[in-house]
Amino acid sequence: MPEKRNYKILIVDDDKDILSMLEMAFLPTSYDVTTIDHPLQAYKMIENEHFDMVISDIQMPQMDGLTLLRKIKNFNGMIQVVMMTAHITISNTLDAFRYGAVDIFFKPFEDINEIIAAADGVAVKLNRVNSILHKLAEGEK
Amino acid sequence: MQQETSKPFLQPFTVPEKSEFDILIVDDEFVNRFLLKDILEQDGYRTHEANNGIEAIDAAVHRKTDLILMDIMMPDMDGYETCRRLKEDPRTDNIPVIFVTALTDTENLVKGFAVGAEDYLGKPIKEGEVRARVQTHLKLKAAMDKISLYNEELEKVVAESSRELIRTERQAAFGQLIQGIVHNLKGPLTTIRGSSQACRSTLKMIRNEIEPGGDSPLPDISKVAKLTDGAIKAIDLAETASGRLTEMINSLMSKSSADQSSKPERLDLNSIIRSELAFLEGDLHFKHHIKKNIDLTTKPIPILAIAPELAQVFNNMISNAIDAMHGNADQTISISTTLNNHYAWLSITDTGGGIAPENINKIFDPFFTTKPKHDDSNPSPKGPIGTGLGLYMCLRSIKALNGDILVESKKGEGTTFNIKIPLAGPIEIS
Ligand SMILES: Nc1ncnc2c1ncn2[C@@H]1O[C@H](COP(=O)(O)OP(=O)(O)OP(=O)(O)O)[C@@H](O)[C@H]1O
Ligand SMILES: [Mg+2]
Repeated sequence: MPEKRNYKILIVDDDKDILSMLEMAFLPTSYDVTTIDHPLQAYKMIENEHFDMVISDIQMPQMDGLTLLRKIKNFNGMIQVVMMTAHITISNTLDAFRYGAVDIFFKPFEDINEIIAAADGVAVKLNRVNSILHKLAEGEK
Repeated sequence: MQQETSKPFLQPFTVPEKSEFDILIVDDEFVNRFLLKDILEQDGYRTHEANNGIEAIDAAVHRKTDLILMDIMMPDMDGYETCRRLKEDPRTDNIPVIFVTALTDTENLVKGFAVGAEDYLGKPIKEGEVRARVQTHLKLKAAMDKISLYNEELEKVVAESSRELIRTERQAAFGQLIQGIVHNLKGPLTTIRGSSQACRSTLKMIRNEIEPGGDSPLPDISKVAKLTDGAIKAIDLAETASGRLTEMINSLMSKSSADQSSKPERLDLNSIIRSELAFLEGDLHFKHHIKKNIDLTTKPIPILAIAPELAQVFNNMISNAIDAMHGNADQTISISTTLNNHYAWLSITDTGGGIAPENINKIFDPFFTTKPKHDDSNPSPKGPIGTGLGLYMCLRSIKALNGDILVESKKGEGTTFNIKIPLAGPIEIS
């Protein structure tokens, strides 16, 4: 098991029920979860607070999740983004990876624990990278 | 030979033999008639004669006549008047008339065309000219006859194919609708499934916590309480989502089940509107961005109607209203029902761009639309944008109920559609 630091996750979906459900699913984990039902506000939050991970829907009325993904990656490439969509198409899937998502899940989810597992996977990656970055920063001092 | 096909318009066009054509020669002077008759009969045509206008009309009506060659200056009824009457009579209006005249100045020629003549021959007549013009017009006439024959057939084909077009356009629209609906169903389904799975994980954790001999000697009560609250919340979420799902499915069912039975039934107009509104809530744009003022009569309104058709009418009206308000700051739809004499009135008002005065008489025409056609550059999840069939179908459905649709609109201010439907029996006092 990775050493789970309290990584901060922002979950974005225009369906508030799904947000509550995901919040519930993350309850037994040690992640610090915030939810937001509006992609534009989500982006503002990402600009102003620190998040390690974003889990975002694709079809949202105010802004396409893929656009949000591109904006996030452009703003800070370190933020790891997981996409979810009910609109299961080849182009949605390919675009998600093309724009730098780490994973994509289709609604309704096969198993909600897969999303938690994805977050855990991201956490392992971040642990490793962060520890190297940490050493580099130490050395520069 | 192309005999195997029964469709006349698939057969090659051939001009009949000259001897099958009958030409009427009209002139008050024997000599002129004789000259023409001689040329034409030598050429192989059959002819008959009249020496004044009245006789000419009589001959054209009673004898087979494929072409008329007529003098203009005749006593009693001149050529112009004769021609005018021939063209007015449906029995003779398709017989081409060629004036044979010395009056070839513009004024007279115009007058000839005005009364419906096809052509003229100058006097004195020239043999070659007569032959050529007669042949041209007979050919034309034969073609015209064939075309009017095709037309009857064509009308059937066109009527059938436009009906087919309307069907397929509607089906395409329906396909879009289904996709949108299925997409909407996935939302609550995601919640239900995810919540139950999350709930299971949480319960397992609770079980671990309270199991004697587990990781910790004593259960952490506050942790257990937190997890239990979480599990309850997950179950609540699943329950509301399944309620949403049930509602969507019910309104879908009422749509499709009644699609099969297309007999009008006694229905409550208000409850149709309510269930359609609930259904439309599945559309996120409608749910979040449109202000709704709903003012329905407290009592049910009994009408005789076909539920899905009425729902369709309502949906069309609402989607037109949404389209009309696209991008506006104030997007409000007001929906009200009222009773007046023996009619129920459903009024739908939007704050959209309104309808231009020059279009207001066209909006119910099939295929009239001011919206772009649906294509790939315009993928709209909420269905068709602009087949122009919406209002046409609406009016047809409402007319079938002996009702009517009235429209009031001010460009830039908004539009109101008033739908009038006869009441079915007395209003219940509940
Ligand atoms: N509420 C409204 N406000 C303004 N214009 C309207 C409104 N309703 C209808 N119209 C006008 O009438 C036209 C015809 O409407 P109709 O519903 O028949 O077809 P459509 O909406 O263009 O296409 P569809 O077949 O997808 O319904 C529209 O294109 C629009 O110009
Ligand atoms: Mg329409």
